Amino acid sequence: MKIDDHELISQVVRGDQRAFVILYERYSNRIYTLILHMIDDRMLAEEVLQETFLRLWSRAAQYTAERGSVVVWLLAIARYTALERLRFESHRPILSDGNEPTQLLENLPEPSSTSEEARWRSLYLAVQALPEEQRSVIELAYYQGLSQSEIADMLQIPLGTVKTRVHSGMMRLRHQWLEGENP
Amino acid sequence: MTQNNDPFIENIPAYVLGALSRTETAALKAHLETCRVCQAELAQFQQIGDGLLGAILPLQTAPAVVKGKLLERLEAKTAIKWRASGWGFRQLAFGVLTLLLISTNLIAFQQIRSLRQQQTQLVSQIEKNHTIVGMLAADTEMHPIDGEGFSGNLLLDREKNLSYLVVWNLPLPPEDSIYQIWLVSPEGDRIDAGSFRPETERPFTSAALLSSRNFTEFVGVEVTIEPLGGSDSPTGEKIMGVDY
Repeated sequence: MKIDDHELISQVVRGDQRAFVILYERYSNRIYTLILHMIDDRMLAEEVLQETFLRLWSRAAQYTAERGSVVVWLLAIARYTALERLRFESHRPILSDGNEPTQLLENLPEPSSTSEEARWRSLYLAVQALPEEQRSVIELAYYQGLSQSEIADMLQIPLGTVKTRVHSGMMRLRHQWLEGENP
Repeated sequence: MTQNNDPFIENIPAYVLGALSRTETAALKAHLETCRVCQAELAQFQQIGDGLLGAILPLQTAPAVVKGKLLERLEAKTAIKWRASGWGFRQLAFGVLTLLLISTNLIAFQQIRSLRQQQTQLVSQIEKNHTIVGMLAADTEMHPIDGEGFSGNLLLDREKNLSYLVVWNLPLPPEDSIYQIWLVSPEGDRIDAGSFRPETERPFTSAALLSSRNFTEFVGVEVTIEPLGGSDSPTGEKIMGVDY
């Protein structure tokens, strides 16, 4: 019988390493996929994966069911940890948004009843369907942690153009993916 | 409440992506405190931000060796935490003792530190042994293990899904190696179940088998010598095996 994620988190809070191993085996591939997408270096990605789960071990008590699913919470920790590493490697300054994942995930709506993997797949397809110029700025911001100003510098285009592309791309995702799920 | 939302609402998608400047972020956060329209807009776009965490294909497989390294780091972290939580009365006694010892003999101080570390390791070992003794007292299967110069048992409680290796006189592997435990499936596949080095202070070594799967899915256990950090599959010499 599959043990519920929330129960596993409770067991991790009590120091149960077996529950920790189950969570690792359940989600390590999905989390590794995100990290490898952000950090194109397998050795670094493996280190960040370990760091993510060590943070799960030390911060499990901070998780509450109101924050949504366990896997999304773990993915947010992984993204934050990967962005820290990217900044360290590139000697870039602090986060442009400065938000810890636990802050970002407060009041996050519960996922819909459809499975998360199916929702992620449909969002992946919606992202792939974006015009290249919109997709690239969204990816640079979200997966590389660049601010709009940094993207403008990198692509050598006006800041206003970056803002327009980010906004248009996100509005298109909202229309095609979010409103498609909840018409 | 009447507010001019335009400059703020336009920034919400970039905020969710973490792409605003610090000034823009601070201004938007302050505005969000009071504006319900923008709060609702944020909730919508946060779902996209949330979804982007998993919207990546194809799914990659994390190398199996990472799990072994992670569990080693977790063991180290747990031991440090235990030592830190052991303060209190002992901190006071330790402080007084330290002052006395520093003033008299630095070598003696180092010996005390060494003893404390041994004590921590001993407590950890006692906890592990308690579990093993508990298993021996219960309705637990014991499968004998024999090797060159060593012997022991595999303890298996199918109901509680607990299993330990207890081996006497196990020699140390080379400095850059560990013993890695493998669960053997009926098809002959080997699944990682943790790694260990023998206890140097005692004639016997105990190691818990770590797996999220049920031990009844497997038919045996093997132990091989592998490089530090462990391997994805057996590569070194098999030093023991047992069918159950």
